[in-house]
Amino acid sequence: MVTMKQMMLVIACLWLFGCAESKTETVILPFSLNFEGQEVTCSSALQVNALTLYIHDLALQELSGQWQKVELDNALNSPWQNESIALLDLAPCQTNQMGLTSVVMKVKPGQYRGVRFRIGVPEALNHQDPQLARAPLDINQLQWHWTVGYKFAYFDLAWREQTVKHHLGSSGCVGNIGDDIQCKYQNRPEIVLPSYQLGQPIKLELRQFFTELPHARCFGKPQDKGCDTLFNLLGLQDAPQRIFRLGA
Amino acid sequence: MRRFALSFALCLGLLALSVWSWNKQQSGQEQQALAELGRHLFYDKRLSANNNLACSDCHQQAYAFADSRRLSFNTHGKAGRRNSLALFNLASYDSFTWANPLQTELAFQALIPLFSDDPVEMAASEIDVLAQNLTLSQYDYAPLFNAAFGDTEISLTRITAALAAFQMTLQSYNSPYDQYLAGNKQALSDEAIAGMVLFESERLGCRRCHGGMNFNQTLDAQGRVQLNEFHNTGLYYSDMGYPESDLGLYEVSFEQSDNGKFRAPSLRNVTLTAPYMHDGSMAHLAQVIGHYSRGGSLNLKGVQGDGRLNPNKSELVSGFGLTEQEKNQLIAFLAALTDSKFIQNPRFSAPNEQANAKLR
Ligand code: HEC
Ligand code: HEC
Repeated sequence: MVTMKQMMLVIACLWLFGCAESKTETVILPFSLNFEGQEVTCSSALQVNALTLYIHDLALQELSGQWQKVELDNALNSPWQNESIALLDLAPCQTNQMGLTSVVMKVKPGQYRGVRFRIGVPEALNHQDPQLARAPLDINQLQWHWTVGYKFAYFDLAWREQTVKHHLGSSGCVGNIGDDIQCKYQNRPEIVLPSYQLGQPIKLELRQFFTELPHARCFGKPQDKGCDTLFNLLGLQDAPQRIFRLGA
Repeated sequence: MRRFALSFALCLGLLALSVWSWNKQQSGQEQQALAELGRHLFYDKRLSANNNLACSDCHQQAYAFADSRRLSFNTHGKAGRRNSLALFNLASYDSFTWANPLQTELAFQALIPLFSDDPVEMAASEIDVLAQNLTLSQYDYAPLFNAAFGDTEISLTRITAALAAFQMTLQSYNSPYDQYLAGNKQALSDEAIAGMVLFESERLGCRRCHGGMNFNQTLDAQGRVQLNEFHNTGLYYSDMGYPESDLGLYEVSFEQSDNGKFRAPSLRNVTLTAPYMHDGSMAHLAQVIGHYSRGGSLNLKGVQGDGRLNPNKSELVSGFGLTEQEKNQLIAFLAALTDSKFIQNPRFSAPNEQANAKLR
C-alpha cells in the first residue's frame, strides 16, 4: 500500500527535480557568413543564392572537459526548429527565409570552454516518409527524394563568374522506404569549436570554397568532383574542418 | 436447437458477406475517385513552376506514356539527362526509374519529378503555394478531392496518392501477342511467330533479362525470377568507363561493380517508346538488335570506345549471329507487343474541360 505520505514525498521529489532541471537560462548562438574575413551582405562580391544547414546534437563543454547536451529553446514556436534539430538559412537579404540565423540554447548556468554540434539530420529521422515529417523536416526543397533522405547542407554560391554548388547528405544507401535504409557514407560532420564563451557567434568563412575550382559541384554522386573539396572543408576526411570559426 | 444454431450462423455469414461486399464496393468507388483525381493532376501543368509542364508532357499517352524525345525537357525548357520511361503495368517492377532500388513506392516516386533540383524537372512550389496554384487550374479540384477524400483539403500526400492511383490504372495487356496467347492464332503473323521463337531462344537469351509477362524480369538459368537485378549491357566503354553524365546504379549504391548498370525496361509497346535506352542513345529497334548481336556497342553516340569490352558488362550480352531475315522477324515480334487500344483508351486521356465544367 502506498500511503498518502509516500505519495506526497514522491510528488515533492518530482517537483524538486523538475525545478532543478528547469533552472536553465537561454543563450543565443548566432551564425553568420564571412568572405575573406568580411561579413557577407547583400552587396558583397560573393553572391549567396542559397545556404542552409540542418544542425543537431548541440553540446557545450564544461571547464572540467565534460560535454553537456544542450536542448534548443523553441518558445517562439518557430517552424524552423524543434527541441533537437534546427534549420539554419544564412543567405543574406532574402525575401523567402527558409530557416533561422541563430538558435536559442537552454544552458545550465556556469562556465564553458567549447561548443560542438553535428551537421545533418539524425539517422532515425533521415529516412522517414518526408510527407509525414514535422518541422523543420517538412521542406520539400531540402528533401533528397532520390536517395530517400535530406540535404543536410545546401550551398549555392557565386563569385567572379564562378559558381559553387553542393548538396551534402548520406549516400550509398540501400533498403526500402518506410523500412530500414542503411547508408555507406553518413556524411554528418561534427563541428567542434574550442574556447567558446557564452554569447559568442559562429562564422562560416566561405572563401575556401573557391580555392579548389573548377571542381565546385557535389550533388552526392560518386563521380562528382567537388565532393572531395566539400568533405575536406567540413572535416569529413582526416583533417579537421576549415569553415566554422568563433567570432568576436 | 441445432437448426437454430445453423440458421444463426448462416445469418451471420450473410451479414458479414454483405458488409464485406458493401465495403469492397465502397472502397472500389473511393479508389476510382482517387484515380480520377490523379488523372486530372497528371495532366495539370499547374504542378510545375512555370505552369507549363505536366507529368503528361514527358509521359504522353500516344507513346505509351513515354515521350518521343531522346531526353525530356524540364519546366525551364532544358533537357534532362535521361530518356523518359513509359508508364504501364507499373506493379510489375521491383523498383521505379532507370536505376534506383530505393524507389519502391509509386506515390513517393512522384516527389522526384515534382521537386528534384538535379536535374530540375517540374520545380513545384512548397505545398501551400502549390495548393493555391491548383485553385487557379482549368480543372475544378474541390469536387474531385471531395469525392476521393471526403473533403476538399489539398495536401501533398493526397496529391501523390492520387497520382499513384491513376498510374496504377494504366494497364496494357491487349497486344496481338496477348491475343495470340489467349488462343487467337491469327493475331500474330508467321514472321512475328518466327521472331517470338528467336526471342525465346537460348541463343539470343533476351528472356534472361526481359522475362515474365511484362518482359522486365531477370531470370536465372533455371528460369527462376531474380529480384532487384540491374545490368550493364555494354553500351559504352571509354577511357573512363561509362560517360560520367550517368553511371546508373553505381550513383545510388556507390559499389564500383554497379557502374553502368540499369534496369531492364518492359518491352511491351516498345515500338511506341523510341528512342531507346536510359539516355535515348538508340533511335531504332534495328540498332538495339545490332547492339545485342554484336555483344556491345562501338562508339555509341560518338563516345569513343567499345562497350563490348566493358569489364562490368553482363555475361548474358555475349553476342550472336543473326541473318537479315531473322532480324526482321525479331522486330516483327517486338512490334506485336504494341497495344493500340491502350493508347486510345479515353479513360487515360486528358480530362475533358467541358465535361468537368459541367460538373460544377
Ligand atoms: C521533365 C520530364 C518529366 C516530367 C515532367 C515527369 N517525368 Fe516521370 N520520368 C521522366 C524521366 C526522364 C524518367 C526516368 C527517370 C530516371 O530514371 O531517373 C521518369 C520516370 C518516371 C517513373 C518511373 C517509371 C518506371 O518504369 O520506373 C514514374 C512512375 C514517373 N516518371 C511518373 C511521373 C509523374 C507522376 C510525374 C508528374 C508528377 C512525372 N513523372 C513527371 C520524365 C518526366
Ligand atoms: C543482361 C540483360 C539483358 C539481356 C540479355 C537483354 N537485355 Fe534488353 N535491356 C536490358 C537493359 C538493362 C536495358 C536498358 C539498358 C540501358 O538503358 O542502359 C535493356 C534495353 C532494351 C531495349 C530498349 C528498351 C527501351 O525502352 O529503351 C530493348 C528494345 C531491348 N533491351 C531488347 C532486348 C532484346 C531483343 C534482347 C535479346 C537479343 C535483349 N534485350 C537482351 C537488359 C538486357
